[in-house]
Amino acid sequence: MREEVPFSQTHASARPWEAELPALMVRYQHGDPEAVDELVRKLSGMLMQFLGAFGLSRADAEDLFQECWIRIHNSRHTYRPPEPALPWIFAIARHTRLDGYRRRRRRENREVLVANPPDLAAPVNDAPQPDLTEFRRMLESLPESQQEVIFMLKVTGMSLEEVARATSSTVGAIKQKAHRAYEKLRLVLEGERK
Amino acid sequence: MRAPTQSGAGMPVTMSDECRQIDMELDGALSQNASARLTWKMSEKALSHLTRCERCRLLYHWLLDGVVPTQPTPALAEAVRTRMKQSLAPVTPQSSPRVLAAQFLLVFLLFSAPMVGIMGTAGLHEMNLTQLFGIVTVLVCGAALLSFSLAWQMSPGSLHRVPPRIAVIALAAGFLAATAVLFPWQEPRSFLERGWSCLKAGLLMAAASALLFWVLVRRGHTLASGMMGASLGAIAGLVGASVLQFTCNRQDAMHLLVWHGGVVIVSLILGVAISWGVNNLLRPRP
Repeated sequence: MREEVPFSQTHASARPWEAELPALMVRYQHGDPEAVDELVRKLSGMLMQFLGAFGLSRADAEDLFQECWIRIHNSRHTYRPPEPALPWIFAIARHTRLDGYRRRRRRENREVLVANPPDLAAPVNDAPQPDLTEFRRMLESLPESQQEVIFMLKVTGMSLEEVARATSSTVGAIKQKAHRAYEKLRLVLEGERK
Repeated sequence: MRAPTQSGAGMPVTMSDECRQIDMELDGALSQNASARLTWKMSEKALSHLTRCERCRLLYHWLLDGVVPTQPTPALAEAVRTRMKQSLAPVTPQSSPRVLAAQFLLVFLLFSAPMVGIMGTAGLHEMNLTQLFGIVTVLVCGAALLSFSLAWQMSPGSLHRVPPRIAVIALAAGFLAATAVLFPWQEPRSFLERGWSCLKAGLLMAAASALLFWVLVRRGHTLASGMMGASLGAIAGLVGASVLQFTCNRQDAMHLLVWHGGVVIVSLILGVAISWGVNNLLRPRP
């Protein structure tokens, strides 16, 4: 059995910079180039991970990553300080991912034969990252809507209300999805142990 | 002690009340902001349960253990930064959802009222007080609901008190119920002929008001363009249906449901189709 680790210790460093985001967004809206550097540095890891978390090849994830930043840039006027910035960013990222998924599906339906073999399952994370690999594998056992909710709650450390904001949903609906995911994960985790 | 429940996949799961308490405490922790989480601690009872329940312990660790974020390649991050800096003009933040909703409502009223003035108030004289009060309540509530829904959709990351789909469904259900209950069901006379002219007039007004609504919507970020098109189509259709309600002298349930309600439905469908067309056929693919 693993030693109990308090939530505060595991998640205290999840996003200590979160409080700075609204001020950073204001500087970004005012046209400060340094704010762009900081935003890209602070958020890129999380966005890349979110966009590539659902079985995408690295190339597809990178395309979505670029598209997502362009969308964020083009709609930067829709952020209203001092509202929380992460739900705003993830609302845009989520729709970038959904649009990418729809495009890919249409493309796959059209293209039966391809001249070049597709970039099959090249993982987004080439470096060995056991936690993340396990996380992905566990996520895949859940329906997509639950995957998304658990990802936002766990990886980004967003609160239920923030996830509700990012997914244009209600807190009650998010709570229900999280509970269903917990039940399913309990089963998977228990099965693995056996 | 253990009550069987159903998992998402339909498999039976046994969960005790203590397991549910773990879930609630996890919810509580995840509901807090980053600074509040620094001081968060699980209750003694829940911690004691973790020592006994293997499944909850595994879930607790799985959920709360850290995950290493992935970084994009430096070249990709640099490309993104360069592209963003190329068009880094200062911008003014968009108005709050409340202000946006008020603007939608204002357009709704400023378009409907003069149209009723121009086309006459024959319908108003055909309704009794109960019918007038009932249908006006539904139309105003529908307009307010759709206005807020559009405003929330224009503001990424805003808390949707009512999901957009529910707003449209609530409007349809309210209109259906109010019309069916408040207005008489009469033998239809010149049903097609009279109804067709109402539908045409309603759709013309909807199209004109949709242009005004579009002026407001275009600045906002359209996250789900299909849903935004549906909401915009529905509120434009509601303008047409509202004007018809006061100007048309056929105030029987069948006529109202099919031809006046039809204006909202056709507008909604057109809104979805146009937004789909714009999104998929006109915009360049990245």
